Amino acid sequence: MKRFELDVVLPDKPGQLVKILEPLSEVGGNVISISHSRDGDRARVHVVFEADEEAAEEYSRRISELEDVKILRFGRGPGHEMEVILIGHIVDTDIKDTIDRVNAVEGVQVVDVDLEMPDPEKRSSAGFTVIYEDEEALREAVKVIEEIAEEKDLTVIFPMEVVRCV
Amino acid sequence: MRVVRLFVVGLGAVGQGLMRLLKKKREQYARELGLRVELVGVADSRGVWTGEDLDPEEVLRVKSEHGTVAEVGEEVEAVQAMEDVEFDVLVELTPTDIETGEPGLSHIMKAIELGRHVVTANKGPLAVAYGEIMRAAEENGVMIRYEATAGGAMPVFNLVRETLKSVDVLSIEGVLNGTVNYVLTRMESEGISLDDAIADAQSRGIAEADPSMDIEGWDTACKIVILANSILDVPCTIDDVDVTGIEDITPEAIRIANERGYRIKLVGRADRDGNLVVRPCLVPKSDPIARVRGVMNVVRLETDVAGTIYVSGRGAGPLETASAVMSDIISIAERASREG
Repeated sequence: MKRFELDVVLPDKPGQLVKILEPLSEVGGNVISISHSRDGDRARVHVVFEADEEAAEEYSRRISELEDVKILRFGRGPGHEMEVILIGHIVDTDIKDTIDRVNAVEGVQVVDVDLEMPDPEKRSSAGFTVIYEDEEALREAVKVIEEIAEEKDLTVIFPMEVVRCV
Repeated sequence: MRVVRLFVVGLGAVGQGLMRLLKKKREQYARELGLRVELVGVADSRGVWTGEDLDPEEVLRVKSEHGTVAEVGEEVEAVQAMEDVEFDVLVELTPTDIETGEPGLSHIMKAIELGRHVVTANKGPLAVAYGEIMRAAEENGVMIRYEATAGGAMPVFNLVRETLKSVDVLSIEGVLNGTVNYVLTRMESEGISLDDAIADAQSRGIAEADPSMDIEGWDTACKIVILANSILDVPCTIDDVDVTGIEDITPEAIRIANERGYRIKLVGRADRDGNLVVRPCLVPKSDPIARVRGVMNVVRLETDVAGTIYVSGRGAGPLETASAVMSDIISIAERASREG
């Protein structure tokens, strides 16, 4: 089994997610993670899954035939996933810039963000899910996140296994 | 009957805990270990009381009634008094100063110079001058024991020294500060702010009036330095540790971590390459390090041939810390008598 990822845009209405997940289970693929974000009347979906190469090809063929489904990316997926938490004035220091700069690292992508702002005056907290291809991409991502944190005066909390290997 | 004569410097919480422990268990040590523990000197910041065989209960009474043993003894410095008293082991229990290591460092160096063994629960001297102390001890042929400096009653140094003789420890990581872990546990279980959790810890006598040493990670850093020097043979001081505390942690961050399958723990870590770090980390809930709650501590040792070993126990508390001090005293007395 190898890891793949799929980025698609779907109409944001009931039944659409099932439409792309059903063929995956039919070909014997195994979902690792799904993130779903709404953007107006469309939804962007990121799926990471494991499958044999042949099954993945078959899956790719099947979803490309679906109506209203726009495939942004289909390919060998990220090797791994990392959660990161940032604390500080995350929004005021331009959260989009933070995400863009992490995404600019080769082989790295932010796929999910949870933001909690208890009070606009107070510090907020955010959880990021970052996917990365290999250890080199991880090291670079950690370096960039630490630089951003330093520059924007944010506290960053990495998983222990990341602290251990970088 | 073997005899070990103690000179105890520092009569704060741990020093008084040691007095209570002696009162409670001195007879038992004599009966079961054939070891008579005598108290020949006690000192606090204001003075020294010496005698042939002081009664620990009497020391506690004097301390609580007068606030200092100088009342019944003399107003002299401990380093001076040490020169005039015949003792076998200096028990150094003064407060930790991580910048200078004093006054503990001077007490320890004086005892070594006098050819006396040392047991300490004070992290300061070892965090700033581990190498210097050990070299002096070797030159003077004395033993230094410091089990209580990392993790209170949790046996780490002696476990490695006595029980893991055939293995090399490659890295050490864990939760080494009971106050911080209690605060993070409360923030998680009650959803309260850091300040409220600290106030709660203070009201229960877990956190000190000024908890900054704990909260900012310096206490954990001291322990990492001592562990790295002692167990990993990495020569280092407190200045070599990359330290981040928990002062910025929010209840929201803890909740987000929780939803994603993690707990936030203040982790101290050292490895053989000399990487020394203290920082809040996301620890998977299934990891034994994430499972320690409240004031408990845990250490994970990665070894070359014995796999992974965990040690967990109460990291603080006067009686627990005093028990680690007492174990060191007994171990020194036994070894000294074996070596004649």
